[in-house]
Amino acid sequence: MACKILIVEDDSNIAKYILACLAVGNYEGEICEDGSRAVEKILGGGYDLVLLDVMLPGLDGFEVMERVRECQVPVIYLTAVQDVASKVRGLQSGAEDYIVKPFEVLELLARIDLVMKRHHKSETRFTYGDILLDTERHLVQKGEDRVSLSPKEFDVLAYFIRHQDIVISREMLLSAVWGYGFEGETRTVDTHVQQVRKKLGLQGRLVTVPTYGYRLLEREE
Amino acid sequence: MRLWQKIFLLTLVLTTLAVYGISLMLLTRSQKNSLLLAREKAQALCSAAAAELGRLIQEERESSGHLLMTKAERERVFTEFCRTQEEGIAIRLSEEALFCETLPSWENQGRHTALILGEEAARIEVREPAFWEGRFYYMTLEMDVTELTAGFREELRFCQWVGGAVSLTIAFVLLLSILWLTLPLKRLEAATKRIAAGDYQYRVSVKGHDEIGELSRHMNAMSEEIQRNINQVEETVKNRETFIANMSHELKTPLTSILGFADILTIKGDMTQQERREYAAVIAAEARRLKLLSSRLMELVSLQETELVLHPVNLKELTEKAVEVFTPVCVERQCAVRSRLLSIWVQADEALLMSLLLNLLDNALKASEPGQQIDIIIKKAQTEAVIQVQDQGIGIPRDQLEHVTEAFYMVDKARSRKSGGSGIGLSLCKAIAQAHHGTLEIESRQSGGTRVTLRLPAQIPAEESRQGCFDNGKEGPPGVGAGV
Repeated sequence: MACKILIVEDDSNIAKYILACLAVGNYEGEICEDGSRAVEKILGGGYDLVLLDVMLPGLDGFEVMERVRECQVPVIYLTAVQDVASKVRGLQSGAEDYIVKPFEVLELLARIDLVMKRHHKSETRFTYGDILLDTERHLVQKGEDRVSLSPKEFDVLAYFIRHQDIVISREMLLSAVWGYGFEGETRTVDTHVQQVRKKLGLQGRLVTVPTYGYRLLEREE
Repeated sequence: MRLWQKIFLLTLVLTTLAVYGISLMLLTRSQKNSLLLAREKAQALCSAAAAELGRLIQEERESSGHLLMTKAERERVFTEFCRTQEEGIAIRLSEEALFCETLPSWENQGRHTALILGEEAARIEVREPAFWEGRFYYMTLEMDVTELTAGFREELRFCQWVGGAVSLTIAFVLLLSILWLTLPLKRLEAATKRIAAGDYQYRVSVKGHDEIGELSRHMNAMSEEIQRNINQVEETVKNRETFIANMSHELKTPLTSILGFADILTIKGDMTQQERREYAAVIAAEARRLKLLSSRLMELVSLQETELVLHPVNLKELTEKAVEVFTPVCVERQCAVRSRLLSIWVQADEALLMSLLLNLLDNALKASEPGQQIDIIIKKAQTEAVIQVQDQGIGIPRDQLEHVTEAFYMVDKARSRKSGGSGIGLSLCKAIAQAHHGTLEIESRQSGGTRVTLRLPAQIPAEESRQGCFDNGKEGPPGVGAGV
């Protein structure tokens, strides 16, 4: 079941962009352009996460947050206001995160993912063809057989499966799996990707995109 | 040293000196007088004693029956006499004069009186010459005036004490009055401290019309001016901050879409042609918005910095041109423009004024529903050219009216974005109007339409305007009141 996310954003193009981002991450999104209508919708329930703009017509983002606080719906601010005071105010008001525009697709997805994990709303079992991946039990199965992967190889596979059909650059993979502090070479990424490809027989599916990175082709069901 | 301390010490010294000096002078005078009296008394006593002695000598001589008294008899008479006298009297023979043909030198001077002041005692000595029994004598009378001088010293001491006490009392009274008089100064001092510490709203309470009252008034005026200036500076800073915050927000909004869709185009593997075209269209639209915003911002900034070079412009011709440019857009929105124009000449920068007119017309159109009408009127009011652009559209809520000329202020953001607004059109118009020494007024009723009135100083058709028309190579400006 896909998570349902409410996008509260008054600029139609940005809303459209966020919707496209969520589609990449397999989330279901719904757009709301007005603060007070957003409050009604959130109080109505049924959302796993709210992406909230601060500068809104009607009620602004902080006011919306105040009114829906008791709902316990995780909220991420998504705004062009980037002064420290606003960030502090946003986070103190009980928001999970504060993302400053402009932002990239994968950054947004990573942050959403973190929040979902914190609230145990993210899925722990993923399948890709006959491959089954369980992040909770750290288990990979191909058909009936267990495949043994090193922890990093496991993370690489998980990242690809969760971002199917997305062209992922080596740098992005590096920072997502090894962390921002890791100062390794992109060759490390190449070795791990090759191992994953070999161990799971993904030749022809996990393809190299020249001079950019890799892409796991979407599985036709 | 504080002012009151200075004044206190100064008065103390001065009054002490004055009191002491005056008492010293008076005492000296009275002492001199009493000494003079004592001297006269001594002289009188001496003369009387001499006369008495003379009489005694004569009586003695007559009773003895001798022609001349013997030395022993004389001595006896003298001793007898001296004993009976109260004052110390001594009689001595003037030896030198015994066989002298002439009188002794002091004889000429007659009586001799002297005041002899000792360490402890003081006396008056009178020496009276006398001629008895064929011999020159002098009689010396000594009068003790120690009491007199001692009394003088005592009185002097008393005067010093009294003088000191009086000076102290005067100084103390003065001190109190100074403290009382300088109380307002203290208040002023406290007030300046408060104001210096940043309490610019604080005012001194003004009392009386003396120098301090004046000073308080001036100080209040000063702090008022300071407060006004500070408020102005704060306002400017706040406006600038708001401007920058708004600008950053307005720049980021299109940038988010541009960068975001570019990102999606980069990372998404498969995409339909339609999606690709849609994303590219968004990027292009948002980039256009950025372009418009940056050019408007440039205009706004350059307007504030440069001095315009103004030429005579015929408002009617310019407005007709603007309406002509504008008509196709109007037709598209099914709106009509009705113009009622008077030919007036103004001093203006043609391109900027055109931009202003187009902006106003554009705003009117954005506010209008299809089928509504936009009026543009040029008329003359005294020395001003008045241009009015009026629509029948949605209008502006009353509470937002004063904000609409602020940069980036949008009454309805979503609507403004949809119609391609940048939020700085009206602030640009206002800046242009001000650069032409004109004003921009906005009247509006919600859902009752908006009327924007631009007033510019009209050019008086005189020598200079004719000069201007030669420069432009156009038909000369008409006289006052002429036109359509």
